[in-house]
Amino acid sequence: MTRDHIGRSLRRLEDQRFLTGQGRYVDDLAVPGQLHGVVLRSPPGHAVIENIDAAAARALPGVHAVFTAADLDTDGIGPLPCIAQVATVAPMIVPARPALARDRVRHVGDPVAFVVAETAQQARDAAERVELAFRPLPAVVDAREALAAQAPLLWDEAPGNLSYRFERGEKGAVDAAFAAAAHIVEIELVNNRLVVAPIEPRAAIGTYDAAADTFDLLLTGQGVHSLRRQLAEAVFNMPPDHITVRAPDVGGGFGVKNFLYPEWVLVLWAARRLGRPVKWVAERGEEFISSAQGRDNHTRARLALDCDGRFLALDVDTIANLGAYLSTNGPGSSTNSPASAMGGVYDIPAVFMAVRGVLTNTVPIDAYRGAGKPRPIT
Amino acid sequence: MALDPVVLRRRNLISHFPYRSGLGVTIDCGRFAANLDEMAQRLLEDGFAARRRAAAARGRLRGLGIACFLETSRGTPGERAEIRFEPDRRVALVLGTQSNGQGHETSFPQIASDMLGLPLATFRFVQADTSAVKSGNGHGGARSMHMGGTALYLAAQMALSKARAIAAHLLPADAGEVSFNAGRFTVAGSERGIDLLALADAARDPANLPDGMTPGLDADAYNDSDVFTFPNGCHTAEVEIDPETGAVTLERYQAIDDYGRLINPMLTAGQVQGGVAQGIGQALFEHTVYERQSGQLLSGSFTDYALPRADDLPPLDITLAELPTAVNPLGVKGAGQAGCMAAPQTIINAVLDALAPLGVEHIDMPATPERVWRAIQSAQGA
Repeated sequence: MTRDHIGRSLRRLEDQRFLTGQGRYVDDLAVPGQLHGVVLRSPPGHAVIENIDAAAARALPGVHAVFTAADLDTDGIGPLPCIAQVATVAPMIVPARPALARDRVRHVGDPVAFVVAETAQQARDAAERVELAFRPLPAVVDAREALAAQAPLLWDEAPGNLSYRFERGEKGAVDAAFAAAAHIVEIELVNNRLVVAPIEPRAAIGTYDAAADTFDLLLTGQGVHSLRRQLAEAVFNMPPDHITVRAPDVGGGFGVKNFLYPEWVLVLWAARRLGRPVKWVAERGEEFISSAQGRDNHTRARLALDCDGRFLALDVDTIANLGAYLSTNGPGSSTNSPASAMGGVYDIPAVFMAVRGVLTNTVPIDAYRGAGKPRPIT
Repeated sequence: MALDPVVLRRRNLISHFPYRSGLGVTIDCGRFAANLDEMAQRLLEDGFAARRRAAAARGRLRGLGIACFLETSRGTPGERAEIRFEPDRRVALVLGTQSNGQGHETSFPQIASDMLGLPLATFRFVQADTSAVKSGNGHGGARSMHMGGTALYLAAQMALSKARAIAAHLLPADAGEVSFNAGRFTVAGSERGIDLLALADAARDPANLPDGMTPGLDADAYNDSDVFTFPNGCHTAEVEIDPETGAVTLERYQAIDDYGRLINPMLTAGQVQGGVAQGIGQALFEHTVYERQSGQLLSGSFTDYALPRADDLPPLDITLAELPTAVNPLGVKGAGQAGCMAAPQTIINAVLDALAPLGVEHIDMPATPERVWRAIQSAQGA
């Protein structure tokens, strides 16, 4: 093996095209005959959907459709799955997440309707003409408040808004160490919620070939094979080799472009319903209320030390905000990920961590660069 | 008990490897003590105390924070790489991992170039297409180089092993007499030899091959490992706070980090810089606010949600100290996430160090000017 390249700070080969405007991102690309979709999103943070009146919208020039959850149900489109593998105390409660909200909206930005027209402007104009009637419900945004007795309940199947409990480590050994410790230090930490904001907002073009019964999804995404599997198995109930998923140049991901989003389902399904490709491009303000957000957990940590300042034990208790739905890998960031690094670079004989995953009226949380690695001890 | 932050950490660092953590994760290696010791040595000589005094004379509070981090980079296990020798004498590297700006189109060919002895321009990088890439696990958990790079390594070894057998057949020579160097197979003590790309062409025709060998040099390798790599480092931050307004400026930031063997040090440093910048954002700027009763997102645009800007960041002084790991043949540790795992606590430690004389003992992230100001007021009994 030569050593001419490994270990050398060579300039990037791809920068030639990026710096001369030759990069090709989804928004630069077009499929012949494509229509444009706009997602109509919930204004309230928590409400019952009383009525969706799309008559005026449908009558506007260039409008092909205004789809709602009822249309998805008619076609037997499955909910977006949570594929996180976490050994929780009792089975995780995973409320169904359809691509368009059914009956109730549970976060600002929750997709309610998908408007498809000849041009993006026509679709936006039509979206503004859709009349939504809501009956507001009290909302809860803080995970600790959501666990409290009188908190608004998001999902009947998740009493107390609790989705799961997760525990790892030796509680007995930790308790014994604390009982014998010369010093105990306690800290309460907030791992603050972050809006991820890659410079390129999310975008996709969905195409359906009726003759072959195949889908093609071109998207700004990070894990094409996993997305294909989820779309095939959980959503469309078709063989994976009938779906092609491709990503051109992607302008930053940081993890949040890994997940199965409602919009990926909507462009494919609408393309099949309408017989023409459908393109969707997020606006920045829209990304703030739809793209997965990061972190958002509250931790009480205690460290036991001996009289020489040697660490004896670490006890970590975390309440993790999941958002209104469990995202593709939402629970992983507060469980498996921090567990892998708990204790950090320090020799701590006894460690215990406990986590409660909680649903709230906020945008769903998922893995963002680093995904929940612990802060308590560094 | 009041222990110097460096002393407290040093006393408790893991010093023997492999080390099994309290939650059952085995750490194979790390420069924990070396990173801290080197940073501590720098701090002895860098004049912080004088800068703190000078700041105080201007009515400002200076603080120094230190943190030692461990990052665990695993990502989804299993990854696939193909090497395809194409008729036009280019070589396609087909990866199941995925770059969204990290520079894989450069770093992966760097590996292939050294292993196959072919110029960088020979390679065509293929990713992110289920019709062109048979399987893959994409990117996440800083996995691409240790999972995908290893798959590429295995594919290159596979191709070279087959090529060596073909070379012995064609040249001809005994297997033991064949050498491979700088892209060419030669026979010891003779003029006979063949370039790898010419051999790849020849390999398409069964007539050129040993009996029963399938034509073509293309290799398809699956890396079935499931390993953690353990990037680690020591960071320090120096902040200056205006107690009248609570404004925090980040004056200095240093890192001494171990990411194992570096394929392209500039790209690694870039990952650290980006991660640190995002960690600075979390510590000082980025505040996602939902209205409590209604769930409205009040920080719904960049007007209200503050991302760090270029003038919020000091030069980031990053030292990369390589301790290769044995858990993968490249010796690499996943560099993509560590910066944002290290920076927040480093900076908050600096903020608390600055505010300690005023009696502030705790502050939440982001440490915005308002929060710093309120913490000062509260501690002063206002």
